[in-house]
Amino acid sequence: MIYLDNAATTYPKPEKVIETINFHLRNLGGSTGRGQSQWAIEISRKVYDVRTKVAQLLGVNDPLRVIFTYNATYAINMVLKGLLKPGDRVILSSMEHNAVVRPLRNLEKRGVELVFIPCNAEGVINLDTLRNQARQGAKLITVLGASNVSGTIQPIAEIGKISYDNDILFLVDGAQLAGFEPVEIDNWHIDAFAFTGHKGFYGPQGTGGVVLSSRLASLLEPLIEGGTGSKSEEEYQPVFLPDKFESGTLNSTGIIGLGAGIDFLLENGMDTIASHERMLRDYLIENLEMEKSINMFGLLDSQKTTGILSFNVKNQDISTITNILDRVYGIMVRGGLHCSPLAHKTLGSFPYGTIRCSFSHFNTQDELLYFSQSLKEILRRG
Amino acid sequence: MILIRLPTPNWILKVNHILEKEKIPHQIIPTPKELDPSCNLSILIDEIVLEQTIQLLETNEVPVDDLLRVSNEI
Repeated sequence: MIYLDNAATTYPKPEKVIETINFHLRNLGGSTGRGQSQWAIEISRKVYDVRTKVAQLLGVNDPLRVIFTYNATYAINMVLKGLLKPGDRVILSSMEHNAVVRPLRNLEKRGVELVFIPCNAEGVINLDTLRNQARQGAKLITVLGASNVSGTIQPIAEIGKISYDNDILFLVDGAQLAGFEPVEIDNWHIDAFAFTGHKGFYGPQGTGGVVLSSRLASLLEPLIEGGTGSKSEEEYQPVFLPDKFESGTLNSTGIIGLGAGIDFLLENGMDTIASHERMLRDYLIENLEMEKSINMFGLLDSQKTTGILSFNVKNQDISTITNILDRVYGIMVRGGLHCSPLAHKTLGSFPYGTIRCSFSHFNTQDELLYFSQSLKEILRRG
Repeated sequence: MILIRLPTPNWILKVNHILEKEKIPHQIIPTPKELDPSCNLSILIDEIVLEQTIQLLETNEVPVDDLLRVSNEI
């Protein structure tokens, strides 16, 4: 089987991740921040080590600003619903994932104003329009770091500067960017960076989080409250990080596995893996560009994208093609809207979406050659 | 011995990390219940390294609840 759906979740997971999770489940009972046994302390230390790794990788000094959640969507909801009140104005791009758009549409019903900044047909945000809208004031700018449809990477540092200059909070949906390119949260004036553990970090599903600035953390209401293992004598939620936003038992097994995923990423080199994925993307473009019925979306310059390539086929049903690829050729890609209708409207692939190929460290040119040959065979048969 | 009390196990782990980095001998121990009824942890250090530790805590903006002199048997 050939797996080309790494933007959904990377597969396979590194052996180190599997071994770490296996070891943890077999040998360490207890819960992070709960209990005082040597195992509970050991688990807590391991979880803290992962906070440190995430903080270092994303450009912040204080690991306690890393809040673990269950995925990036949870983290984004936590920020949007904990911050925004009726009358607040939010600026977002026209490439956003439903993880951002759906909670914001819900908040819009309660009086939050949404301002959409257009992106061009390649998915790149219009900075002049953003600048003009930011000058009119807003509570929050929210932009995804890289598109899950086209791989287009947004100019996050520039957007951060615009946010900072206009005293607007800045949220980045980093689900596709984290682990692919270096991120500098503090230098780029990012107040909240939502990440997931099971994509570019090569960890297990059910892991993710958000890195918060101190100014946002003090404004933000927690989405849930409850036991934190700290200040147990008090009936009110602690106000310090990360406890304020981490009620209930954490997925310590998953988080420790995430740490092993980050180790794998660093050992192999984030730059090296990104270069490999870009090489694969270029190779696939080269193999498909002569097919007249194939229409690619987004930037063709892979240096400005992640390892994602989206396309559709003239007069052919996407689901039929992806189904044949899967059942006949053993190739797994993703077809459809990828939970991002807004992005497809921007790119011109709405309402049917695209066939998306997305790569990881483990994919090879041979796999993509087989994919290209298989696809061409399907197209020839009609 | 000196017992360092902090508001949350997460801060204890942060201090643990700082002290490990500076190679300052220390121990993480359960906080005695009369001091904190929650599941909190504390850090135990030798008095000899107290001054150095306090300096590190200040530099890293760690909000210390208490510094308590305790017996060696804790």
